[in-house]
Amino acid sequence: MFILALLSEIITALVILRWLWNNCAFSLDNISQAASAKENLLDAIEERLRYIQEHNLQLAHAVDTEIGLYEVAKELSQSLEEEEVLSAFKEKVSAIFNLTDCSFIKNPSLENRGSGYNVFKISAASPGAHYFAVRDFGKINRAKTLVLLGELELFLKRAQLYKEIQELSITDSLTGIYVRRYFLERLTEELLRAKQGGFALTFLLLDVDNFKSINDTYGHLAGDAALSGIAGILQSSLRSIDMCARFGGEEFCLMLPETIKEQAFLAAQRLRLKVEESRLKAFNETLACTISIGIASYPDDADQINALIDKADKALYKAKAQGRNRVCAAGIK
Amino acid sequence: MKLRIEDSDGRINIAYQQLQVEESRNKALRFKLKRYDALALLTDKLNQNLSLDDTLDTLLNESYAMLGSFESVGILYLNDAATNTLSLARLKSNSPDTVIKEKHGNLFDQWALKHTQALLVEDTLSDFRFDAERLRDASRRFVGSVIVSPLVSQNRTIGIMHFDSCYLKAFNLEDLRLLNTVADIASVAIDNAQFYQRTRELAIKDGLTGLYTHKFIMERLEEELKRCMHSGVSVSVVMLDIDFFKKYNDRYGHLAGDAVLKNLSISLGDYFKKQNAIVGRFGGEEFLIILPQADKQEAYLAAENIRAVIQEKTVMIRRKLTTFTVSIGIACFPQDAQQANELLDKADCALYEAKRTGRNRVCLY
Repeated sequence: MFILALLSEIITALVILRWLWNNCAFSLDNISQAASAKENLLDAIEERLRYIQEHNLQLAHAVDTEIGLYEVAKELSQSLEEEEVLSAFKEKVSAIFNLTDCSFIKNPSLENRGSGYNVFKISAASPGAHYFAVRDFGKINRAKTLVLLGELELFLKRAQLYKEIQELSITDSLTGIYVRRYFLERLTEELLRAKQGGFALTFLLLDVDNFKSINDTYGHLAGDAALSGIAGILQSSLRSIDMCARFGGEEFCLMLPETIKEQAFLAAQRLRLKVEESRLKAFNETLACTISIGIASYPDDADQINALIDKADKALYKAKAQGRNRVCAAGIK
Repeated sequence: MKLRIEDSDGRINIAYQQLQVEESRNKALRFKLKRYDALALLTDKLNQNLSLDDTLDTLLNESYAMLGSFESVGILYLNDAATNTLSLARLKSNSPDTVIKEKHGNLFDQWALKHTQALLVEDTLSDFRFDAERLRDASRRFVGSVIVSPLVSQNRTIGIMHFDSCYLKAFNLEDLRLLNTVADIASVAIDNAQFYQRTRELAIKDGLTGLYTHKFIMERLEEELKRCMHSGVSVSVVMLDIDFFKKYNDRYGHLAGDAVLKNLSISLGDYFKKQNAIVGRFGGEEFLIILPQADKQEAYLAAENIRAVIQEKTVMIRRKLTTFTVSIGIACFPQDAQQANELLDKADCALYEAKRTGRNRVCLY
């Protein structure tokens, strides 16, 4: 019994000693344990710090040139041609992000993939540029590249739509009269109709005299004003079945259905006089212009469109050679 | 030993402070990266769609997701180039009862429009450029801070993007820079939508059939009538409609209907090419053919011929050969009508008559 009691005393004493051993702040061992725990904590914090510093460095690299996103869009907004958009994009992106190797390619080949290129698909693809390949891709990053390419696509689409509008337009934006392409379509129809119905059809080619000197003396804006003024005179002098168009540069063309050459000659003289007598307002200047006219008729001079235009062009050349401000007709001396 | 502990305590403190700085920097950088993702999403969405309404919706919704916060308001104005006045196009805010009184933009919008410059006002009460009193009088809401960026395309301001908040300092330079980028993207996207609209208006050929559009063929009819008044020859208009077209669409789906339309347009184009006729899709399954210099008898012959040609034609629909027929009505200038609309009405009457008397036939007015 005594021994048992002694044993329990000893066990209790041991437990207390053990507790003291573990919790006594002044124990030398405990102090060194605390110190090493703190050092562990310090190590952990420093390791995390190193990691996040490195991570931040990478992130900052990806983010810091964000001004580039802004500049690229500004640069692209200047151009309405697909080619210009593509080259402006390439130039600007490589300059801002300091890329040595990036290009537009048609097909992503294995060679590109293997040698550290990153290849992106462009959805509003233009011919020859379906993908964008960048080598030192680490200098940009994926998120930013996607933004840049998104911008590129928007601008490419704008250029494509702009071109489509040009192609669809049947009127000339400067003068408001028809464009050559649409005029020729209608002339084809009209010639067929003349052949079937046995009518005459007269084609007139008209050129502004000394237009270059108007441009040189008064500037391009005045030249433009002169062109639209003459287009207005033509438009207002025609019958409803006639048609006029801008043939190109300072040349206009007219078709007069069911009209023989002699009648057309009189009409052309009237037009020439009307232009000669008019004073065209161009900003502060008042311009005096004259025109020369060449005439060719179906069926007298030609029965094909190209030949008809050719004959009228030759007549126009003759009018110019004879001193301008006059009308010449094919087949009439 | 005690010294060692104190020393590491100090180092822990320093390292911890550094860590906190780096952590918050990390958060800021990640936030920026998230904005790139949002920008990429925005351009992606804009590239999917060319309608102006959808473009405006996407622009404001996506940029609000980036820049808007609690109790802020985003507004997209469009600028009328002729009068240089803004008009409210889209509005977004968290509370449904936000009322914007300034339908043509407030002080800040006008400033941005006038200077073609982006604007950041962190505190509207202390910015000397703007009269806080006037602002309070003009608006029912209190505006504490605001960012505005003009949308510029080809040196013209086409609109304004505007974000404001009732809190002071709700926006910073970073936000303004983002808004500028969004504005650049927005102006080209709006350009695209408007260009697309223009291509639709300019198109004189129908996309599906390649025939002339309603608008164009009406113009041509007017011209044609004018010249025939001159010369006194006749013009015939032929109105053509596919019999039981709804049946094809309902039974075989729209693609089958489209196949029938395409097939018919090819037949019409081929047949009338020689005749110098003008062939257009008048709408839905209705076609209009203008036959210049054709009197009623000639037009009837042509129409009867094309009806017979179409009757013999087969179309492959769902691997089955099917046939279809057309009903035709004809009216003639000058005896039936003098005006284009009247002439078309008469042709329509004749078409109705053809339908009424059993379809697959030609009726004269």
